[in-house]
Amino acid sequence: MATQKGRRDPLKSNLSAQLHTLEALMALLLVIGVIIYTVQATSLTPLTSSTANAHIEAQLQILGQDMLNSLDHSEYGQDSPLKKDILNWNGKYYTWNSQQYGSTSGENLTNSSTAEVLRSVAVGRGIAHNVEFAWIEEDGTMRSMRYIYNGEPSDNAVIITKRVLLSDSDFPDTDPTSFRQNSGIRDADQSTDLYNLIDVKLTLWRM
Amino acid sequence: MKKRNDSAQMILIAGFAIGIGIVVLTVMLNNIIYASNTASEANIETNVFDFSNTVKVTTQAYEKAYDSGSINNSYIANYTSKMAMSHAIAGFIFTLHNDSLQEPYFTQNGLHTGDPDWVVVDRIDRTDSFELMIKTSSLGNASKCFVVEAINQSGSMFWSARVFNSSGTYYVNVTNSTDVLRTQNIGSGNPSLNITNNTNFHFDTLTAGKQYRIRFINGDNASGTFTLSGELINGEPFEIRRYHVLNTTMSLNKNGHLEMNVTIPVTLPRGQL
Repeated sequence: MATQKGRRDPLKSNLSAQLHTLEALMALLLVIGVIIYTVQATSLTPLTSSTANAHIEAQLQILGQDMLNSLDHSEYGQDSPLKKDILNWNGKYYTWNSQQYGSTSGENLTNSSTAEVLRSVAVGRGIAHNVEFAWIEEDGTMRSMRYIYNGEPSDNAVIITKRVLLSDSDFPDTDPTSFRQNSGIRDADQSTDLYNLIDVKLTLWRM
Repeated sequence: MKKRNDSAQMILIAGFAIGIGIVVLTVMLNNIIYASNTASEANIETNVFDFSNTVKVTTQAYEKAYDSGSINNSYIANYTSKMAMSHAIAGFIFTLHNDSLQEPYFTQNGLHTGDPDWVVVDRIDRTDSFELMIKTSSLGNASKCFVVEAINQSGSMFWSARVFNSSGTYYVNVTNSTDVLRTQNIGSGNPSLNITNNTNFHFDTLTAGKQYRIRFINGDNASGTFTLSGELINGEPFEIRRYHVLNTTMSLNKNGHLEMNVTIPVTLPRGQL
């Protein structure tokens, strides 16, 4: 835009405008800094999945590994308590009702070492937990069924997996018919003693 | 003029401030991005947990696949297939192969190089069956004799059987804590020593009512098989049968890296774990 001769352009001559621009930039930096700081601070909440609760996840992971290791321990040719629990499973899932593990039909989970360990270790510490049995079908797809279920885990849940081998000779009278009907876990190899390979998945999370 | 110079200084200082601010913000953002992408369980020995589980479940598979002195290869092939599929979900490639069956030594892992002095079963309340079959050609002389002994909870030996080669004749010496109770020629070849239900060995009478452990000494100076069963102090049964030993190699690969490659001896058919 043309200007009258002898008069200076106010936009060009006003040096305060540059300072205002710089001020605006500094304010912007301050605002961004506050946002970043706030984001870091809020990640400290227990249920947020981030590095801030990594130590909690690490604790849960180690706790879960220890529980599964002790459950899967066996000596001198005997079956481990975890394997016995799988063999005795009736296919139902159980939920902790603040006193015991009960099914939806009102049946209580008794004679289960897994339930005993979870009750004494996880329940007492306020750690929510699920236990699933997973296996691979003949077509290669993985299926899983709940054994103990206490709700959907949060984002910061950890999963610990232990493999347990089942053979026909592990079942009473080497007859897995009843187990197959109850659990839906089929004999993966009918030509040999091999029955199936079960992944025991223990999920732990803080409430 | 003076006002304009002051403004120039302000602009310079503000420029420095903005520059420093940008550097600080960049460092803070970089820290967040770095920390967010760090594996939160990096300090946990997850691999050790998985590997020990793999070794244990594979040992169980060989125990189940052992049938009448041989390995059922179909069982192992199907087991390997199942393990490969199970590991594939986690991105691992699982492979398994084994050597042929060997005659075991009385060492801890069954190999000649294994630990020769070891406790076979601890915290025994009662032994129902204990039988050894020893290959006499592997026996050492009296100074390197193969010893089976029962030790009480305070660590004192109160029964032992010492098997040795004396100039081509093979003997067993049965002792209590102080005296030799019997010396017997056991013959040659692969003689069987039935220690329980046999008054010659005095084992049943000396162990009755005691809580003890059974220990092998100089197990690398004798090869052969044994069976041992009974009940532990806690009321649980125990059963160990060792007829063969087999070297098995299992490996896990991930992203082209060999994560695990171990060869372990498995004593068969029962009781390694």
